[in-house]
Amino acid sequence: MDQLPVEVIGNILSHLRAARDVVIASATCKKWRQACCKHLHTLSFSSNDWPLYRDLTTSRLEILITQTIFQTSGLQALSILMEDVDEFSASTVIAWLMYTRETLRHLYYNVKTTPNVNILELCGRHKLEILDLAHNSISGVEPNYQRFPCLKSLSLSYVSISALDLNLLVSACPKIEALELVNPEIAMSDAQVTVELSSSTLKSVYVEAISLDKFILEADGIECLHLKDCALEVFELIGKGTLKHFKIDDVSVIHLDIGETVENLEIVDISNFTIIWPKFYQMISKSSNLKRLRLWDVMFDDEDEVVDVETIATCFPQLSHLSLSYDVRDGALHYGLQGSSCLENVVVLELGWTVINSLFSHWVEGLLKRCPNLKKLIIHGVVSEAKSEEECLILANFTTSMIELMRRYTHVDPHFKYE
Amino acid sequence: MELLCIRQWISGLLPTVKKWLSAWCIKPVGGALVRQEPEYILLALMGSPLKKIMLCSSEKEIFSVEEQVMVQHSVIINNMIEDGSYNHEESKIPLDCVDSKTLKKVIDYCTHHTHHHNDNQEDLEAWDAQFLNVDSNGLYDLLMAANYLEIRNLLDLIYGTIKNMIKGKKIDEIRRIFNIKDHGFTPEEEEQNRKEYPHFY
Repeated sequence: MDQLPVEVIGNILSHLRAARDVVIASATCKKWRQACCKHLHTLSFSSNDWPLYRDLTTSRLEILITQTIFQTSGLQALSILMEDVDEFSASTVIAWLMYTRETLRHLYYNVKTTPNVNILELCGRHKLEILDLAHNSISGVEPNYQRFPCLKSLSLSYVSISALDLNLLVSACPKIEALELVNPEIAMSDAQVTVELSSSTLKSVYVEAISLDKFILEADGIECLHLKDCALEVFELIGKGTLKHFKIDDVSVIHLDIGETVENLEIVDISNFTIIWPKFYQMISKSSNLKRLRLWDVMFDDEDEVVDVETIATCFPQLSHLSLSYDVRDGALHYGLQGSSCLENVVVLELGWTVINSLFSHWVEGLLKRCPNLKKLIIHGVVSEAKSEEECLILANFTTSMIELMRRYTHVDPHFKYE
Repeated sequence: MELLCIRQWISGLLPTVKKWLSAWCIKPVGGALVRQEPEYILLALMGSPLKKIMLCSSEKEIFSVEEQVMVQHSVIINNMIEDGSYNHEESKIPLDCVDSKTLKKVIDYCTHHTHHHNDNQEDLEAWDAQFLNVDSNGLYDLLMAANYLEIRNLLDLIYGTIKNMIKGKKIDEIRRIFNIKDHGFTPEEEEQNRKEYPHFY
């Protein structure tokens, strides 16, 4: 070990990440101390790493962090994620960031600062590539004066920012590829809250817990879009049809538009949503490259609407994974299984119920017939705590019919997941 | 001679075949760049012996290994071949700081990862764990070799292993594990450390 050059030791100790371990390493011997001082590139202060952080007062913790950071030089990744700390003082945080900003590439910070520190302004203009910020606020974005030339990934959680500043911020990041917004506090100047983001480099967008009137995303290169737990009146994606992965989970949106050209869609995942089938069908029917389709816990606007297998088979010949969970009624069974086209490439089939009924096993059977190359079948079931006699009977009958069914489909691997 | 005739024939075919072959280009593993000239790929497809390169250990032992394997993993070797300083017909790459035992292991690692890169994660991890089942001297030799040849994924693997030996331990324990007999601090410095962080010892 003493033969190793000090830079190599620095690389090894950088993999430790946790500040506690780094401090221990630097007290182990002179060579390791030197490695920590000159060649450490990653440092992390996380309340998960060391339970004793909780016993320290905030000012003692600030001193500890300051001492540790100031002993390093050339730090590239800094992570300060403290769950139990109410706030750090602005002057201390400014000191940490000014000391490291020349070389810092990744910053993860989730503690409120008082008074507020504009973290992005402070260190975004240097080498910063990844910024994960929480519980802070961003204001006064001026793209003419401030650009964040290296920023590739931006994640804002519980951050207050005005709609205008958010719009300007994205345009001030010429290389941004990933954007994540979680529960932002968007201040608006007029009655209608509109967020309009425009970026030709954005590839991945994740939005959670946002409530807006209008959300317009203009992204010519976007590949992955994921909305979760949002309430929107209008969501519009303007692009060049590059979207590959589209996922919405527990979203209420009145008008949803992901563009005309959807040929590159490979994964569509819709859950906890009310689908207007004709509209939805129109949206994705041209996605002949679709490989995975998941419609989970969905309801149909029109009670008579069904997901019919014939449509899925003809529109999506490349489909390899199909996941369906909705209330199976007589209509679904009869009309949904009409036709004879097979889902030739489906290898994994996931079917689920929220309230079991006696039709479910017939539905499973009907779908199994249409997937000649199936390898794996996964049944998801919700079993209520207070089971009535009738429910127990239905469950028992289901189990019996599944066993009989799987005897005929020996090439399929069944799995059951109950919750 | 044989090789030259084949090359001429391929050059004639090249325009029409190039597009089809672009789908056959080897994917890089470990971040190193990869040679994608179709004539080499076509050679491989035709069953001609895969291009080999010679590596020479510090003990002057020669190891012959598929060029594609080393080029995928080692940035240093890839650069040497890209900039043409390696002449296939006559030269060998001298690696004076890597002994035969270590070089053989490094070649093993690169070869396995190239040929098995489609295996599932668990199998690969199990193989890696078995691969690193060596004594500490062997581990450091591997680390130095991977560092010199700039083999990113092997380096990360070894860093991870050594880091796990340090993580969560106290200072006296670490000194024992890594056989650090002389910590190099002055008695005053050592006392100061012990006073400041008594629970770390």
